[in-house]
Amino acid sequence: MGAQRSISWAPGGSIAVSSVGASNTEDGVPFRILDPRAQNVSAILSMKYQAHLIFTSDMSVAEKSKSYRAVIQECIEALAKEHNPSAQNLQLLDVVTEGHKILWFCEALYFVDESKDSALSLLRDWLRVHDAGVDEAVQSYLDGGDETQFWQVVSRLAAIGRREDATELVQTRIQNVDSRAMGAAALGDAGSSEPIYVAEAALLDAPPDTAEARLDGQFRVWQEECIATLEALDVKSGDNQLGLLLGVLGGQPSALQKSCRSWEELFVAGYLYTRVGGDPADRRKRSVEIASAFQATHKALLALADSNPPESIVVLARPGEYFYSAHLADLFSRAGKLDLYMVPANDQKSLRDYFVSEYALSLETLRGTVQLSADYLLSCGRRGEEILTDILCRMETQSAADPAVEKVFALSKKLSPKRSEMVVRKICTRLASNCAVIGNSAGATYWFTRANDAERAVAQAEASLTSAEIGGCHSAGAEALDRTAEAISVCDNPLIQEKLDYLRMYSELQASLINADEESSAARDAASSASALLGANGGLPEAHWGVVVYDCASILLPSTDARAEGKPIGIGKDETYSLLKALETLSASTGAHRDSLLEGLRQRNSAADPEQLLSTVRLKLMRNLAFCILSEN
Amino acid sequence: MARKRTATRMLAKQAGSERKQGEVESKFGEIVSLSGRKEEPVGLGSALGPLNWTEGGGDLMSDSPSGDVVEKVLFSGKVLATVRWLESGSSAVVGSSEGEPGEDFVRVYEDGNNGIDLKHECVHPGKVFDLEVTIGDRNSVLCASSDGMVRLYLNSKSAMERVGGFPQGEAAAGVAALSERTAAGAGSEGSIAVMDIETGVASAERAGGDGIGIRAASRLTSDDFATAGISGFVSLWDCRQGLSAPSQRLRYPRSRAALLCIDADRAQTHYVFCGTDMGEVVCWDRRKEEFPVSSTAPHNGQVWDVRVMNSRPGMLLSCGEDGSVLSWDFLQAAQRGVGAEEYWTAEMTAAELKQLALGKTLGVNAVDVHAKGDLVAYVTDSSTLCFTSLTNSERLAPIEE
Repeated sequence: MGAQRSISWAPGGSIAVSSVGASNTEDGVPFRILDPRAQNVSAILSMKYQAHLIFTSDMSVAEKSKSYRAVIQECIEALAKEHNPSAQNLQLLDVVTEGHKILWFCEALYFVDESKDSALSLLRDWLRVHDAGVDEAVQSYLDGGDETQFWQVVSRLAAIGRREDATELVQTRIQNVDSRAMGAAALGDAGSSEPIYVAEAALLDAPPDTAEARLDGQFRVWQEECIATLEALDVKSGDNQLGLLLGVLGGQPSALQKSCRSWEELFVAGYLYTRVGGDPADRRKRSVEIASAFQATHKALLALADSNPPESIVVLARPGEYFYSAHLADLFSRAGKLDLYMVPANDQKSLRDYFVSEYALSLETLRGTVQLSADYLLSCGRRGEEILTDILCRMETQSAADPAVEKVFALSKKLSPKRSEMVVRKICTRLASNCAVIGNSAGATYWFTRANDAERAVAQAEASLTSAEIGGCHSAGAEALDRTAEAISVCDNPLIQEKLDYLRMYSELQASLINADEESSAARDAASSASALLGANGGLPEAHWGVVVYDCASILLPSTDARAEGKPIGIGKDETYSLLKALETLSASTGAHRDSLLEGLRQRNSAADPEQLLSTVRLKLMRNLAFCILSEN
Repeated sequence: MARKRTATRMLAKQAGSERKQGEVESKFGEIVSLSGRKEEPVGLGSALGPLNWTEGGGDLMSDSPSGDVVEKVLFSGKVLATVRWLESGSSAVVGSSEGEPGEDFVRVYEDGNNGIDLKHECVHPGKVFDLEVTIGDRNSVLCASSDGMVRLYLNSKSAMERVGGFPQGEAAAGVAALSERTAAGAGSEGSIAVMDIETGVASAERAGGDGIGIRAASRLTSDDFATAGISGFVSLWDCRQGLSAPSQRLRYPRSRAALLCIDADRAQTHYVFCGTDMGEVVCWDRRKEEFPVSSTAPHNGQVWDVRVMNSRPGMLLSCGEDGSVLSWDFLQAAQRGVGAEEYWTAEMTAAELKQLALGKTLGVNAVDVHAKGDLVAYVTDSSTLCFTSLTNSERLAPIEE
């Protein structure tokens, strides 16, 4: 393996990158936990993050199962590093270890190719890691056990498929103990009928423990030879120590039951030595019968052994902890072994979808895990989408500066268009409302527009326009209107953009008005904008006409003296007609309607009577029209 | 002796029982042979999705690397939003964005006798949206917070002090250190403030500069800074002219384009870089026109951070929601014909773009390179602070010999 680099700092703050060999790495665990308080949480979270990557990968079922085991194993190792574990830590470790044990058992029985060696070796290894009883027995014997203990240990090792270890024990005993007791004559006599030599021969004669040896009959022939030897020696299995071993090797249930000390050992022994057909279900059934001599240590193991995966998934689930059930159910579902099982009380959801969605919901508690929740839920069909929609709508997104907003938008794209729109609308509406509360009408207009809420977007835009109208072109309101107009232009909603286009024109009008006194071109631009606003396609509500006309009239030349001075006319004939037409519309109105139309004018110039203002404006416009006509002639 | 040997061998077998002979199981279940050759990447999906130019089309990267170049990963248990190196020392500062009361923090990680270790933690009232190292001692950090405050974390005192704030309801989206004494803060609703770091007094303020929402701020010179936001505009502010209006505006010509991060070349401050919500890294030359001089989309999803490597001319880092961290070598790209001074306008190809992180995590929220070395730190939604080296990008060829 390549050397790994590590970061270090030399004195004075300079940087050094040093390389160390892989064997010198601290612990071989990818995540080093720095905050002791978060150690357990971190180990579990780390496991969940990695499991998510596996879940979303395109691995085969067997590869996924193996990878899940690897990340759970990492978690176990991280948890086991606690020097003074609390009861809670130990309980956590128990739960993770239990999940690891059951997932591994599933993999051996259901997810690997039976025609290869994987299942047999996986079961043997599973027992080695999760049941230390036989190794303790070996150690006890090695620490000074007697002959009875020796035969018990050899038979037990052989029963659980560790024939190499059993052979090694036998050969060691031949070298170190039996040679002295039996005398020189017996030494090296392979044909001796001494039990230990028979045992050695039987173990050494075993064909390689491969699926191939089982398929071509070698294993069965060897087993029959063991039984024949047993009968030739005229002993019955269990009647003496050698008989027990030969009975185990021959696959006799009674011998297996006498040799093993737990349900797990006996199930594995039954699975390895039972002489039934190649159907895994038959073999499991026979093994369960043999293992019934002991009480199963976990209901999930029994259910799996009994060809009942759904039962194992349900048993494995704990309130608030669906990690193992969810991934197991997913694996079974992908392997095509769970299709028929539904949860009737839960909207006929499949068992797989039920546990996967429950697990996804349990992940929701941390913001960083929403991405994980999303991928799990999206694999659960319509109901999963519903739940994800609900989660995304509830995400804390109070400020547009929060990256969570963009992250929610990105996740929503994975939903159906209808649900995606629902999420976007919800988030945008929330942001818009927050903007409205603090008086940011540009932000509110933008977010209401993105929420496709035309009514409230227009209301905000109107408020912005009113503010600019009252304050005039030099006011903060005009500046806010600029931003609102810009907000509408960048929000990419053609319908609302078209509906509120008068805001843009009004903003342009106010920008022109700022310089209209100084520059005739600005005055012409202002008149042009005003004319467009008041035209048939302008869209500006009539309530705002009064101020537009008033503002434009205010830049007109004050007297004939100005014309005499040769100053150019700012507003042309056509624009003046438009303004006059709008003025007459206002003048023609009556009653409450007239009041509402003149309200803007009243607020703009509270010191003057609106009726008087209308008269003044009319006079200015008429005079300008006259100038224009004279100018033409 | 024989007994002892037998027992030892059995225990050894037990320890390695899960693996086939000659194999070790590495992270994520990858099977690596003891000879060192990766036999079969069990595959957590390709490191990146298709990478496309926004213009011209075609894949930017043809070979997706299969080796892991992450060198050190620290797991914090909280979503990490931002990271910055303190230049004068050997510390990396990170900020979290969990959002739950009392859950967020600013942490300083420092090299110690036992490797990188947590030196100090300050509980932070709100999500940390931005961190910016101060000018001068380069040993303190300005923090922009979701609660609207700009705070100063003093590494020498391991303490946090308030500098200034925005009106209620407005988050501090970004902060830029302008000089030893002044900093510019940008509010989420568009407010801008230039404040004295020591006294907190604002020398200039503007309410609602870009009402749609600012996402980031960056220093240009001691008098200029830039803000970018979801309107798709970059606003340049000149403190000498006051904050009544931006001194210049740069535009990204795509409707509803959100600019999520910003940085500038300290040596050529007319070049401004932004990351967008569509995976693009965009460059403007503000001497020329309001539209970008280049735009490339190597990320799949939002670009959360861009950092110009001021100690390495023409190099830039970017990271994004796709979980990847990329290093860009514009100088190398410029050797194909663009003038040496104009390297930021060079057209990038796959050869000049390297991956430092392979997209195996969730989104990468921020990245930074140490000013004195080639060390890169980045933080992720997976609660991890990762360290790697720029030289690692040289290992990006497929591992097979």
